[in-house]
Amino acid sequence: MQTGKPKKKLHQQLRRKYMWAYIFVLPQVLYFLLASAYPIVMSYVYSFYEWDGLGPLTRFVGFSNYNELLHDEMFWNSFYNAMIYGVSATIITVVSSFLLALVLNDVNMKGKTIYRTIYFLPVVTVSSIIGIMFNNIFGIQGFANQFLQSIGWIHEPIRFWLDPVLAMIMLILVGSWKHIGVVMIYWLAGLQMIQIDLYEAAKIDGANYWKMLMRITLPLLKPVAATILLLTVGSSLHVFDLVRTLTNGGPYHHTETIELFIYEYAFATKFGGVRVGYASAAGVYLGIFVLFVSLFLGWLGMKAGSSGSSKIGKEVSKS
Amino acid sequence: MKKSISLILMLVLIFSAVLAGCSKGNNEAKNSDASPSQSASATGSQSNSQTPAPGAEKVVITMWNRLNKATFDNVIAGFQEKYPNITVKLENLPEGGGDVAQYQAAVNGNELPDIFVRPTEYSVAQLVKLGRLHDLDEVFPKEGFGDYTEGTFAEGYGSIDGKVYTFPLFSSLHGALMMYYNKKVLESVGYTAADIPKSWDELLAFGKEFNQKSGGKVYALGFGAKTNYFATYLMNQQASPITPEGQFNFLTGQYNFNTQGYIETMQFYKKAYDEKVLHPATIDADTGKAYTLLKTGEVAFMMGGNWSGEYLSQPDKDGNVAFTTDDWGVVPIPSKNGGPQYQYFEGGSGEYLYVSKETKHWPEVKLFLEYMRDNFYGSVIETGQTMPSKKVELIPDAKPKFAQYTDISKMMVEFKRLTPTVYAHNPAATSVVAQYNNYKPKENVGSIFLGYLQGQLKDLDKPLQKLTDDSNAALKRAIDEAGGAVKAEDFVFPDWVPGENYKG
Repeated sequence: MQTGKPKKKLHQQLRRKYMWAYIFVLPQVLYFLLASAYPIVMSYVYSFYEWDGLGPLTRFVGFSNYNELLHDEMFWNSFYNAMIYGVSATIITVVSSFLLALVLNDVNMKGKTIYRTIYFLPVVTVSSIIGIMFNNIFGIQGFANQFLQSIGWIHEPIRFWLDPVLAMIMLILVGSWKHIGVVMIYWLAGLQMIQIDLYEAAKIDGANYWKMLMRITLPLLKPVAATILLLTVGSSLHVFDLVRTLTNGGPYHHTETIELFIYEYAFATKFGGVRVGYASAAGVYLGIFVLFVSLFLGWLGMKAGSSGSSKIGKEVSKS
Repeated sequence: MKKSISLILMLVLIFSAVLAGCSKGNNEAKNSDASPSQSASATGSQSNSQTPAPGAEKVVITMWNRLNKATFDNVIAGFQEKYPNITVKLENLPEGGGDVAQYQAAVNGNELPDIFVRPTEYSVAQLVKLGRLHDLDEVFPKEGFGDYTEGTFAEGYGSIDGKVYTFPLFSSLHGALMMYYNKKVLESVGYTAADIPKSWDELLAFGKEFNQKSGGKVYALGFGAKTNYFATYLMNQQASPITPEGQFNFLTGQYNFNTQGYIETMQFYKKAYDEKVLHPATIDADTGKAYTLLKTGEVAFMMGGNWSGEYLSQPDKDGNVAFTTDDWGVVPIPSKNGGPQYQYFEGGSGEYLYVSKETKHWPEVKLFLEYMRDNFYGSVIETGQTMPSKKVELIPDAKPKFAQYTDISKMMVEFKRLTPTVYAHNPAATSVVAQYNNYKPKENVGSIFLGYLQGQLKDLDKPLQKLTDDSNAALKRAIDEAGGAVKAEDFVFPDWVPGENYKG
């Protein structure tokens, strides 16, 4: 009896499958190494040098950049602004997209596809274009002020971009509006994973909409919610193009986020030359902060995943 | 079979992607190998002296411009007519600072075009040290230096180690600010040019009355406060009669921004804004918006640079000239007491071109530069943009397209004062100046002024003092890092008289 040949054939087939898998994954891996991993590693390297981006790295300064940043008022100002934006935009985005998803998930809702498309349109629009557009619409002589003055609601133009609080509110609202569509899709995906049987059983038991929402929907959405929170927080802490075009950090640094701060040092601007090392150190600080936030939210997600299903299990067994 | 085809297709895709990523797009010359001359040698100065004859192989030389879009149109058109085999491919970069990142990427990647207007954030010394520039001794031999305004080819500005690296375009007097006015707007409210204010008090009184007479629809003054370089120039020029030492005191070798000059100037414009003398859009406007305010009659006066006359005279995109040269005039900006005002400059030229050391078409570039040397300066006068680097008396045939050019040129001479230059004491200071540029604060008088005007800053003493302290700390750090090659005393000139042209 010949037993070696079938095993050898299976092994070869498996190897071929793996080979194809690696070939298809290879371009993305290469891209990741060149466009992500290499810059990340090099930014750590640059952070230990005083370097203007020209010529070779010659001036090793150790932790001097990190130390200087800790005493830089503008760095802490930009960090504070980033936190205000991040927290506010996350809350508004997550809550409003959830409410929209609830509405669009209703079986009686007509024209769902159209509404989903409308809400998703800002997501596919380039952030910098949105920034320029809204900056013009809400400028002192922009459409918004002209309209409000023409209907007599205001006599003097509203300084949307010149009042620190208003400018930050506008930035948060525009940034949230931009991302609501995609987060809504995540919620919809989560809602559609919940078995309809559970709702039918609850209706038979006399549960109203509110009770079903609180006792079935929300608990079962906890794992999804944790993931959505993680993704939303991550994206709201990385806001550069919108800030650059909408407010450019103004008025007077009141909306300057940390990525804009990094940009001002990494690239030559109207204020002077370049300090790549300093900018890289700021980037490292941001990266470490985002890592800790992500780890915390990931842990929350794991806890939510286990508690959500066990809670439903208890509810089902009670009935 | 299917798998083999798929594998081949995948490899072709990857290979194409790698090729696309590795290709360089800057120089589009199709026949570089067929060019009769070779590219620059290691020193960047040796080249084949043959020039291409008309009818030779076609060559494209690339050029970046961050100045007024029309600056080089005439000279390029004339050159291409004379040498039809050579095309100058001009790329106009975004104005008002939008070009900075593009230049930085090109300098770092050594992918500069053949010819480019100087990038504002890199000094000629930095670029020469990096090996990015081709010297221009063949275009500007020393015996011709006398044809240009004084200091054009001074060491540290136009020349490094005795070699010329810049093609001067504008006079070093370029950058003066003045006040343009809309004649029709003035007349509509019953004023003439004789009523134009000359001092701050006069401007405030005029502005309030003007706004009332126009029913609150038209304001006296507008300018682009959001354009940082403009706001900085305005502060420097307006502060000068009050604090002649300016932002850098050559008597002490230290920066000082916390001066009566800057404080009073900023307070004056804030008052003008609060009392509706300044158009409300000013605090949200760039220089482009300011032109619109003047042309559309929303303001009577607009602060602009010596180049603004040329902008105001340009037709719109449909070719219509709604705002003709008869519709505007130009006068000095009102100063505190109606007296003189000025900005400081250190020599060199107002703007200039560089040639990339990596150019593959040096003979064609040299031909173009020689043509420009003989024809460009006349067109500078003809467009009315500014004064050229070449002495005006050597270009007698050039006639400006608007009569106001004479007044503008006169004001350019009056509003500029030559300062000492540290390079005269110590040529090694170029590296210190470059390092200072990197260490200096991400703030200047223009941004502090905008913050104060917009109401974000209530007190000027603290931010101006911080700017002073941070600037001096940056200078000290840059000097210390020079390891003794440059001293703080190199920046001190005891024979300097603030407010006068330096004669040392």
